[in-house]
Amino acid sequence: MNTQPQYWRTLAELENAPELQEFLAKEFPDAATTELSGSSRRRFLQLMGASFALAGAATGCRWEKENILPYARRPEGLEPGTIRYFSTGMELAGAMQALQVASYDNRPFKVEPHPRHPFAQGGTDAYAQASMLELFDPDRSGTYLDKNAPSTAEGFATFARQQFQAAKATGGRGVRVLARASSSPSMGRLKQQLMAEMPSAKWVQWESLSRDNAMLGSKLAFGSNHRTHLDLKAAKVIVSLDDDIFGSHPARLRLAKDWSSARKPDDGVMNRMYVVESRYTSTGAAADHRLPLRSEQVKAFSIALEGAVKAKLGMGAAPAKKGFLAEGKASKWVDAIADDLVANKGKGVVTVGAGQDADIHALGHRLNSLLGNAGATVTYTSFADREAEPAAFKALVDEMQAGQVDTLVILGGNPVYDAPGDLDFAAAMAKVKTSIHLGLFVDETAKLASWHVPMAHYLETWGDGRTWDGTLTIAQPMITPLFNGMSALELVAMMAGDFTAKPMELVKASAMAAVAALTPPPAEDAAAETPAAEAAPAEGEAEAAPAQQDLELETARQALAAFKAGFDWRKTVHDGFVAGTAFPTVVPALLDFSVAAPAERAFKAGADLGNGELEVVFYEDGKVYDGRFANNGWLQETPDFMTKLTWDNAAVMSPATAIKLGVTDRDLIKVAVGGKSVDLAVYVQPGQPTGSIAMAVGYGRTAAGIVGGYKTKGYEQVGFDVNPLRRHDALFAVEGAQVTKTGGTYKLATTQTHHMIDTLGLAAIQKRAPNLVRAASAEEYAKEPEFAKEMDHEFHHKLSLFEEMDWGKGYQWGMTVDLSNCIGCNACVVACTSENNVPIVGKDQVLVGREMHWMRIDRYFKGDSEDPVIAHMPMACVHCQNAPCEQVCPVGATMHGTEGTNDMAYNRCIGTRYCANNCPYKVRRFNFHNYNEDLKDPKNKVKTMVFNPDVTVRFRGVMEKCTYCTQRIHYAKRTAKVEGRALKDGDIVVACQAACPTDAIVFGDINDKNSQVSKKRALARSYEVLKELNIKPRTLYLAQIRNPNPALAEA
Amino acid sequence: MSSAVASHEIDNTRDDPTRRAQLILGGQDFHTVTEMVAGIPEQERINRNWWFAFTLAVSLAGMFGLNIAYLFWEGTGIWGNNNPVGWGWPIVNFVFWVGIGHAGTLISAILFLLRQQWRTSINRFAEAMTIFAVVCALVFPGIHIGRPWLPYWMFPLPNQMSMWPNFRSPLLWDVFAVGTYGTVSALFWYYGLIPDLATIRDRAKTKIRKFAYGVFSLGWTGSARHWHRYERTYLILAALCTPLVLSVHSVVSFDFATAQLPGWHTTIFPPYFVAGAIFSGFAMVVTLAVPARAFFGLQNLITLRHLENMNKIILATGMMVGYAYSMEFFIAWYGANEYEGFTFFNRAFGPYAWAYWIMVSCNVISPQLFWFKKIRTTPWMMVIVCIFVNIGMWFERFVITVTSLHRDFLPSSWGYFSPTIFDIMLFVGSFGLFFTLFLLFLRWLPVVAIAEVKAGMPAAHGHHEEHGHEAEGAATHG
Repeated sequence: MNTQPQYWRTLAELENAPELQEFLAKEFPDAATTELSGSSRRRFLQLMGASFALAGAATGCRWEKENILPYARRPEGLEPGTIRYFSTGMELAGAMQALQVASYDNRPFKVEPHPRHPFAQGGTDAYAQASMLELFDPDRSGTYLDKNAPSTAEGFATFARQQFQAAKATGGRGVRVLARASSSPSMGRLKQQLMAEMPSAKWVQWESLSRDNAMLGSKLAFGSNHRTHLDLKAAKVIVSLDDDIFGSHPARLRLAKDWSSARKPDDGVMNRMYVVESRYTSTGAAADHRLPLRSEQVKAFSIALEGAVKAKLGMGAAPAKKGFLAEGKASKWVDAIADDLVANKGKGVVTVGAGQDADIHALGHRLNSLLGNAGATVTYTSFADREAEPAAFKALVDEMQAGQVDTLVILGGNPVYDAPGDLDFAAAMAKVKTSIHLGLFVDETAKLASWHVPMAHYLETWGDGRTWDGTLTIAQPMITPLFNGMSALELVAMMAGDFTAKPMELVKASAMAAVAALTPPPAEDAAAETPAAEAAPAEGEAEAAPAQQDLELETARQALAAFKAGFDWRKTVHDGFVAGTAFPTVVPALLDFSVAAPAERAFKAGADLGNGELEVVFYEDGKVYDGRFANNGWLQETPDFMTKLTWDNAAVMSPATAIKLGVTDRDLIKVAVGGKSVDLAVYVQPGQPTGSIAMAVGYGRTAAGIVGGYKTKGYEQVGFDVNPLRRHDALFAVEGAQVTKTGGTYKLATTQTHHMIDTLGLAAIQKRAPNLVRAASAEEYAKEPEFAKEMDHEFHHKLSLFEEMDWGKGYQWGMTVDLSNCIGCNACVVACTSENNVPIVGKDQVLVGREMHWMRIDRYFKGDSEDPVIAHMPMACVHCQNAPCEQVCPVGATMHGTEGTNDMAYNRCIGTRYCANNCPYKVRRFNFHNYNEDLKDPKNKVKTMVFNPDVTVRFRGVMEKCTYCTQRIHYAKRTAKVEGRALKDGDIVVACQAACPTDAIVFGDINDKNSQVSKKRALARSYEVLKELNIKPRTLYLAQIRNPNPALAEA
Repeated sequence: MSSAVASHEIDNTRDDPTRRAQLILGGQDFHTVTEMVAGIPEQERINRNWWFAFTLAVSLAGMFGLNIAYLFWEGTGIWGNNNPVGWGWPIVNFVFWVGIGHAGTLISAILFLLRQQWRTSINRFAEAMTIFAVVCALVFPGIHIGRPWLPYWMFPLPNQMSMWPNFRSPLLWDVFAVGTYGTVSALFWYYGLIPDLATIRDRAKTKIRKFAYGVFSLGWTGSARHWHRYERTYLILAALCTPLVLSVHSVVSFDFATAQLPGWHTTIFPPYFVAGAIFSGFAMVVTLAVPARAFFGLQNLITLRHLENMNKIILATGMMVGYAYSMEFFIAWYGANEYEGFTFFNRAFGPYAWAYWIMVSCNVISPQLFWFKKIRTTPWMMVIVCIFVNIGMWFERFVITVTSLHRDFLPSSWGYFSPTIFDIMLFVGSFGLFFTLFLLFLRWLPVVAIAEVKAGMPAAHGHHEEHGHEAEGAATHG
């Protein structure tokens, strides 16, 4: 009837628009549910803002119109358009990673390593890089849920007050807190307060990827809880018994750094690493010798190794070898490693993986002690005793089942998903009267909880924690909570009755206490604090729980002491850590203990195992962790280093196992162990021990989000949930698996053709790989330093059709990648994604080969398909000086910069894709679709905040590729110009280089003869990949040098 | 004697060294030829079958258009192209159609210069096919780019930003080569049409027809001066077209040959591409001519001898192509380049071996059937062979483009290309466009060059007494 445009007349009318309702629910979680009474100015502005946002999104033009307002009064110290770095830290499973976060106009956009932290010595991991996307994830929970119905912060506070007051009255009977592992002293203090208030309450710590076997091992070996610290810088011989020290160790970054710094073939410094492992890890790929064994075999191997070492040390005869140990490679290995360890007494390291039994950990301690490594390359720090996570978790589930738990508070975990299959947490949770779930997402657990409380991201709130060595690290917020979240500290304070706790004050108090503890207390107080107590902080908590008054007194005393010691809160926050707070190291005395003999089956070779006797090992694949990062597209799309799988996990098995089971790649199988079974797809991976199947945990989430799968909203799950096969007492390996083919196949999206390729292609790969990834032993390198260059194909006529530019002038950028140091951790890949706004394309697009990563890690298998060697190399645009891509572009969209870079003008590109065809490295990436189309959805608006404002977001139809982080080059040049100086070496650190924990990537000016990169380029082992094409790449590779043990040389 | 004459009349494919073969059969004179050819556009109502074919073609062309619209909306991602295989079906189709578009100009220009009189019956037809093929071909480079609304950026258009195309890029050479070829071919075709359009104008019975054909015949009166200028210009255009026949596919081959991709980077490409283009072009002419001559009753103008001559060319160029295939392998081996060697080995025995062997069977083996005169001169048999040749030539471009790209230098980036439904619909749709144009041509324009055919008839030469008898004197070269 009325054809006039509809103008809204009342707020109530506007309010009825369903899309607005949805938008409000996301953007202003409280506003959506509160009655719009009256029209306060603030509410009016919010609504107008929302409707403008909707109007902008609905028009669908290519360029959205946006109004920006300058500051009327500029905040002090804020310089628009400059990057500022803030210290913070990310805690994962009780270990802090010190970080700096780059922020533009108070909007964080990129995670960087902490440059000055005493423990973190460069590099970050992929999780930390990707946490930026998690912060801006539109799927994050922004609404308090009361039995899945929207509620408010006030509503929860009212409820909590009643609930916890009542609980306090009973001394906390039936109150249980289920927390993730934490190293936060503030959390430790709050926990003490809570326990003082509610003595009958219980605090249970649970991590699905629990490392508590190590703790139990130390108790067995030393009688008390000790943490092991490895000094890989000093170690000459490293023996890893199923320990993925570069992939899943809490100190992986530092370990990798130290390992690489003791691996400088050009200076003649080379350690040697042996890895015995139950799946192919990046540690195994980096090792000089790798032996694939099933998890249970590792145990047998370790026992034999100890026997051999003892024999060499003259402590009795070596035990007779049996089974697989008596023959072949394993037999030789036992003796060779024992020899090497004994020859390097005090300079060796034996480390045991979290998946191994406690007694093998104890055996590791004994070996280190026997060999004199303890106290030299291996040190310990002591902690208060606590119950092991799996046992405590099981006890909790039993209590819940028995109806003894009235109030369960879950601090950030997702036990409904990640509980092992033998514990039915969901059923147990149904028997709990009141359950409160604090989490970033409305996940599997949140849906079953009576209350869900949105959690603040670590970049939104104050926090603290300790790096692996114990250094107190402060996490400061980068932005106010985007989704009205609450931190775990606040929730625990609420439980203890403090509804006004400020996380910053809590963290500040902890920092003060730490500083105070650094200064020796006055003589009269010395008796109160024994050195033993000081040496035994319980992963974030002090030993005894003093009464409340004492605590207050103690706090006041600490404040005074800190003040005397010159405590400066601003400086502490700025630095992000309190120096000198590392735990003191001790060398505990070894007790006498015995190691249980492994089962008979462990001695069988993998090929002799029948179906039904197979082993299944569970692992963290470096992407979704235990499932908590499942909704992170950056991580989901990162190709696994070894399998190159994206968006999935699989049943990883060796070719021999697959042949024996009559299955092949992509077949769907059912794996049954002890009455439980899971269905998943087969992935054939050379180097997986035969008779063993490896499965990554953390997949198959049913309530992760749009990216990671959300069943009730119609988003398919990503990968397969393998938790049902795990047991609380066997979190990492179970035996006796039966595999049946269920028929049908499943599409697995890999970014690289893999083992199951035609023989013709396989032969070509075998032929090419050694020339692409050049490698030699340290011995060969010493004899023939130029070996890598000598592998170049001869060519005599270096003709170029075109006149080359003069490369002798100005800055000329170049890069080197040291293959000796690359561990394939993927940090560079995710860092590049974050820095350069690289889009995520999804599984369907990866399946058709359209992943967009500018940086990738190529890996090739060499040798035997059951026990291959991995050759891998990070690959991105190498910036050819005679670039084939530049010559063929009809519109000149890719041209050469005067500083030697191969530049892309996105605006000019029309997308002929000719450049990509002509690129011999195939590093160019094409936007086949508009991969940022989801941003048009108003609820994804928050996602736009993750973009690096210095980098263009590319439209469909445009080619893109590595730019050598041209924005960083220009930023540094601008800064230098403002300061009136030339650029110095090290002014520009490109994103991949910054993230690399082993300094494998070096970037700089090759015209500066003293620059790092020039020195690396001048090394004898530097070479150009595909040099015979005469395209003169600017990125040079440094050949991989391994340090094999001559005694284990292949015949 | 009379029996010999009769046998020539019936079977002009028989070679008798004592006489030249007849090119026009059925005792035609100038009038009957005019009637036969001009009669087609003059029909009041056209056969139902034409309507059926036209409806089908227009539907497919519509699908083509809708596909392109969707492509603009959604992007290149609707096709199967991926990371190693940046060029897929659109480029294959482009090269395929450009190749098809070779026969027409070859017939008109080169055979004209070589005084091959038999060309006159088929040249109009072949030229029309050429132009429509080039039209189809030109669609693809325009839409295959990532931002298909910007293909004009490839033209050297002066602009305020001084943005200029990159003259080092073979794609730019393509723009000029194909553009020139299309323009000159269209000009040449239209120029040849003028006298015939005037004939239809003069015979027109309605005002509209008179006007329409009148406008396009550009005031042709048939005066001696007109004829003189016409002949001179035609000769010049023929001379201009001749190098273009060779250049256009040579330049198209540079898209591949100047790239450094193993399997593309070979010097044999220009002659190999030209031979292949002529091969596929003639195959297409035969495929279209056989049904068209039956449909419009032109058997006496487009005789078996014409078809046989074309089949002989197909046989010859087919062997050239076969030679090129084997020479590529030889050089790959002889050159001892690891990557090139692998590429060719991979073509024949790798994941795309099926495509390679389709190509070889269709292009090398199937034309060998033309050694048999029976097959060479039996219309339905030759159509089957020619369809195989067309399939084979499409696969040749597929093999060159895709199998080289899918496995190049670094094995980490190897991939596999599979077409999507949109690839297929676009390719099929391009046939719709082609046939729409072609059917319109058959309906409204003289499908045989009336004037030229007449010039080749014995009757054009005054001193004959009984046609066929004075064969040596007549310009009936065969």
